[in-house]
Amino acid sequence: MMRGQAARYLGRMFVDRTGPRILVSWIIVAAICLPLHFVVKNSPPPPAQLGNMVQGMHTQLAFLAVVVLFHGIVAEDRVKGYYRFYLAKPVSPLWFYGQSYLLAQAAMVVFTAGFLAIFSLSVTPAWEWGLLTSAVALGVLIGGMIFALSTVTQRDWIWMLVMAILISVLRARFPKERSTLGRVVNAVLPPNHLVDEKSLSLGQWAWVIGWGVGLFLVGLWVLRSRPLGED
Amino acid sequence: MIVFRNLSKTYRTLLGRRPVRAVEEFSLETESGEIFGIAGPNGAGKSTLINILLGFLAPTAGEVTIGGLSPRAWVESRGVGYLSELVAIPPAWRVRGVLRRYALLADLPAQEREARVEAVIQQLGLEEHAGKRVKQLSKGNLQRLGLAQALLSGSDVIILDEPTHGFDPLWTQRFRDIALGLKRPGRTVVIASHNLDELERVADRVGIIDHGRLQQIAVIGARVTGSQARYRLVVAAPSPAVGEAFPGAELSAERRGEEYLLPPLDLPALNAGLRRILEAGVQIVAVVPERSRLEAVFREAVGADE
Repeated sequence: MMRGQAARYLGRMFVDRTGPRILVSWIIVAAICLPLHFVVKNSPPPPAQLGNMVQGMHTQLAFLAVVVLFHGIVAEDRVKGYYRFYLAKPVSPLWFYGQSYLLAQAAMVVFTAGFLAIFSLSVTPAWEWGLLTSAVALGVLIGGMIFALSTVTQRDWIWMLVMAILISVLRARFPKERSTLGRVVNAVLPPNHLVDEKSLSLGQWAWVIGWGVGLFLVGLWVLRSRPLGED
Repeated sequence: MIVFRNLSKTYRTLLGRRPVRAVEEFSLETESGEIFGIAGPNGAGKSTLINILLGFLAPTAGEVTIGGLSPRAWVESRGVGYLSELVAIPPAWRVRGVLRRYALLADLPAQEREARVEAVIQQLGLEEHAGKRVKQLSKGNLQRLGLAQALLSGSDVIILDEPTHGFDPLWTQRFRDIALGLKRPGRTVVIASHNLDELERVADRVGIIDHGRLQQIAVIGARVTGSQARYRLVVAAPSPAVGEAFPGAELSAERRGEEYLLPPLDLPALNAGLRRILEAGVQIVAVVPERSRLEAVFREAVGADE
């Protein structure tokens, strides 16, 4: 597939897949912010509490958004058989699904910008640059995990939840401060706990991006080595 | 053009129990410029072969090449006109939009794209459905849309899996004209179908597969004419000359006195016998193959007559 051709189909992908999913995510945000509007109007919280409120809401809703935006990139096409006509055209599955992932990645930032806009309009003006970087970290790591799972399972987001829970349980069971095993577990597992942080150090960023990009590359490798018709 | 060499495909369950051999030691070479039919009973391995040919499945052993390249290398560089047995298109898309999307992916030049979309809409009679969503289409119209997207680009390889599935008799007939119109030097058309009559009308050769193996290749108009088949001979009035020309001919139970069921004959024997009864003054009303010639070869190949 020519680069220009792939770029041109990006618009179709946005209209067909990513755009509607961003809208759904924003509708969920609006549905939650609307009742808040009345609560805050009657008793406005102190500014410090407001910051925590924005941060807390974003953590919850961005996790939901990452599932909405990334799920089924490969799995849905495979289960429904849509890949058959796409990939009979001069199209590489790596290009096709890889650009769909990148589009979802960009959509995470758009989602957060929309979240802040909706929150500012309906509750109270708020802007946190840190939330945009938090959305990127979440998209890269959790999005990469969903993408990799999408190439090998039919229900990628369910498996991602199972993995996320498992990782959290292991971290809680083996804290890094208490034992060598804890330090090993902490080093080996994907750094899911960092995506909730408001600001990350350079090392933490490298850890998150490294895992996310690694998982994305694993997904591409699976796409290259395992035909889509194989169960 | 397309070469299958000792191809095998075995499906295995997660635990490796009860492996299913879908294709075994399959070797075949199609020629450029021909329409090649693939016929076989349900579960014979037709769809598996096509999936391997598109690179959607990996063979367990052996290899497939298209124009000397691996299937994916060919498809990703040139594309294939492909209609799958089950047409899967997102249901919310509109017919014209579907074709525009696939035309974009098919790498058609921008200035030709719209004209090509309109041309296939017209060719497949989808004008009145062009604004409808895919979910609003009947089975037959969905199949026509699937065929339309396969014909969008002038690919050198066209693969149609059960192309008339869901078609009414009119469109089944029209499909034959479309299929014959696809034939051109440098292009290979592969059609997998249950419909032997359809294959006999459009294909140059038909590979008959059963239990994943290539049982026979029938060359339409040559190999097929060499086989024996039974015919029904309808005459204006019964005559002993028929029995003399065709020893073993029986009067039909339904139309006694007018119709004979002839014994299995090849074409030269049939024509010699017909000449004799014409010389004896018998008026022939019709000579009808009891089954199509390809069907006779098919039944012989898959052992359906045993």
